[in-house]
Amino acid sequence: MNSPMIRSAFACAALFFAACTHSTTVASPAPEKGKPSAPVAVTAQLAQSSARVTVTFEADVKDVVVSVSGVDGLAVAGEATVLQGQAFAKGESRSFDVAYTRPAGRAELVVNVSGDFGGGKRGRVASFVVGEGPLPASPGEVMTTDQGDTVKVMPAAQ
Amino acid sequence: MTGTFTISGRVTYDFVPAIYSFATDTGRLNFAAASQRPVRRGEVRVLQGTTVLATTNTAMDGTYSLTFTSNGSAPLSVQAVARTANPVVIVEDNTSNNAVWAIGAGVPPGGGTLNLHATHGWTGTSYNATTRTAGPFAVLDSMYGAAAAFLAVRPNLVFPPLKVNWSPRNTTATNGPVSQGYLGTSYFDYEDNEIYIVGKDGVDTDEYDNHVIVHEWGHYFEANLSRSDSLGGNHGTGDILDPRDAFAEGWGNAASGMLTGDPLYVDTSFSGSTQDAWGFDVETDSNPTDDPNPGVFSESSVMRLMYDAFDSTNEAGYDQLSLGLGAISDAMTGAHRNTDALTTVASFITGLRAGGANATQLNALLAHFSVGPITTDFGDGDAALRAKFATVSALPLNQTASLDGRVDYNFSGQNRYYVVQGNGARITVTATSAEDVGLTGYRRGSIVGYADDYLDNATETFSFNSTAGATYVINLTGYGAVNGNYNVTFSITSP
Repeated sequence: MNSPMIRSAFACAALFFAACTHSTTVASPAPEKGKPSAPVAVTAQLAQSSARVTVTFEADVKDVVVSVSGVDGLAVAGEATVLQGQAFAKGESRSFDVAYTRPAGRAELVVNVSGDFGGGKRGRVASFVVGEGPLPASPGEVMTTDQGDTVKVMPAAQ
Repeated sequence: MTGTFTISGRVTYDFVPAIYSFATDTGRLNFAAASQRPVRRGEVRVLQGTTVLATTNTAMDGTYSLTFTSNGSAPLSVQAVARTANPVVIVEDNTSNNAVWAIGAGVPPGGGTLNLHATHGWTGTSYNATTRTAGPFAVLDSMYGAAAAFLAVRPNLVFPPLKVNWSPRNTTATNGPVSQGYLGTSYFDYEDNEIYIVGKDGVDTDEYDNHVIVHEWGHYFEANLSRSDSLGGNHGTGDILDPRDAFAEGWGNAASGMLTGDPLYVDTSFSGSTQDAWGFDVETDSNPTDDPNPGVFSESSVMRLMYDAFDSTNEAGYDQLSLGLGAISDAMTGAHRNTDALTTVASFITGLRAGGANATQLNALLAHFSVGPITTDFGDGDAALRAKFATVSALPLNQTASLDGRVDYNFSGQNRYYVVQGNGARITVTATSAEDVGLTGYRRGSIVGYADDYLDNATETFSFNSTAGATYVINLTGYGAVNGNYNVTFSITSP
C-alpha cells in the first residue's frame, strides 16, 4: 500500500464540540486499514450521563445486531441490545440514546455491530472514551537491564 | 548464591482457540479448550539484579538450558522475553514506552529446573489483569509460526525485524494517540512497518484470534518481501474492489488459512461480558454465497483461488492444484514483486505459471472463480482486468475518462490505469474534474510522482523524468461521491 493518496478517515476521527448541548461528538469511521470488519461508521455524541449513538451502514445489510456496553466502570442502563434483526440499505443510519453511569475518571462506551453483509456475517466494535483521567492500570514491572533493554515483566506461573 | 550453576526448564503459554459456528451464528474464545503450547525460539535469560548473565533461545518444544556464574548479592531471576531471534519478532507494550513483554521468576537455590508458564487469566466473565500474561506470547508464536513456515520451504528468505504492539490497554477507540492504546482496530501500519493488536477486555481482544494475527502478518510479508500497490480503504464481501485491494485483502485472508492450518477464519469480540464472533471459510463458499460478484475484483475470489492453489485438499473438477507454500512464496517474492504492472491477481498468477504450475489445472481453478486464463501481469486472458490497463501508444494522450461516483475510492469503478513507456524525457500528467480526483505514477511499485489536493473543481498535475524504455503506470483515482458517473479530462504529455 504505497500510494500517498490514502485518505485515512480512520486516522482523522473527528472530534468537535457542540457548545449548545455541552456534549462531545466523536466519530469512529469504518476503518481504512486493518483486519476485515463490518463496513459501518459509528458516531457518539457524548454527554455527562448519556450518549446519542448513530450507526451508518456503508453497505446493504440484514440481520443487524447492535449492542452497547461499558468498561472501566461505565455501566449502561437499560437494554444492552438496541437493534436486532433489521435490514438497512447502503447509506442508511439509525440513532439511539444510551444512558449510563460512569466513574469520575476515564471509562469507555462500547458499541458492537454485526450483520449479514453480502452473504456473510461481519462484525465491528467501536468504542468511545468518556471522561478524562489516567490510563487504566496495567500490571507488570518495567525494568531496564544494564545493557539498555527495557522489558515489562509479569509474574510467571510454573 | 555464588558460583556456576545450570538452570533449565520449559517455557509455555496458554493458547485459547477461537470458535465460530455458521449453523448457530455464534462463537467465542473457548477457554475450556485452552492448551499449553511451547514458546518456540523465544529468548530466555538469567539476570542478577539488572545485569544479564546468560541468554539463550528456547528449542521448538519450549525447552531451555542456561549455565551462568553468579558472583554478586543481587537477586537472581529468569525472564522469558517475548522476542525471537531468527526471524526477529518482538512484542512490545506500546502503552508502556515500548517495553518488551516478559514473564519472570526467581532462580531456585542452586539452579535446577524452572518452568515458566504464561496464563490466559480468564476468570469466567473477564480477565484477571495480574494473571493475564499469555497474550504477548500467543501473538509472538503466531507471528513466529508464520515466518517459520515460509523458512521451512524457502530458507533463504530474509525477514526484517518485526515489532508487534500489543497491550491490554489497546482498544477500538480512535480519539487519542497509539501510545495510549487508541488503535481503532488491529492493523499493519505500512508507514512504520509495525503491527498493532487490540487487547482490551470487554471490548475486543485479538491475541488468540490467530487468523487476525496472521492476516496482518500477511500484510507485513507483502510490504517487506513482496509488494503491495493497494490503496487501502474500507472493503468487504461482494465489493467490486480495485484489483490491487482485492488481491491484498484476499492474500491476507488466504495466508491466515495457509499458515494456521485451519481454513476457518474467526474474529471474536465482546459486548460487555458476553462474547461474540463471526467468521468465514477461506476455502469453501457459504450458502447463500458470500461472493456474489466473483472475479478479479473480489477479495473472496482471490482468497479462495489462492488457498485452493496452495492446499493439498482438492475438490473434484476445479481444484486439482496442490502447489504448497514454496510456490506461493516464489510467486509473491518474484513475479508479483517485480511486475511492471500493478500488484493484482494477474501478477501473482504470472508468478505461478513461471514456477511451473500446470496450466490446465490453473486455468480450471481460475475459471471456477470467474477469472479468465490470465497469461500476463497486465491481465491478458481476463478481459475485465486487461481493460483496466489502457496502453498509451503515443504521446500526447488527451481523453475524457469516466469514473463511478457511487462507489468508494478503492473500488474498481473509481480507478483507471494508463501504461506509458518512458522516452527519456519529462512526462506530465494532468487531470481536471468537477469532482475530487488524484493521480499517482508508479514504476514497479515505486511512486515517481503524484498530485492530490483533495479539492473539487480542480486540476491535478505532476511531472517526472522518465527513463527510456521503462514502463510506468499512471493511476487516476476518483473520490467523487455522486449518484452516477462523472467525467475527468485527462492528459499525458511530453515535450
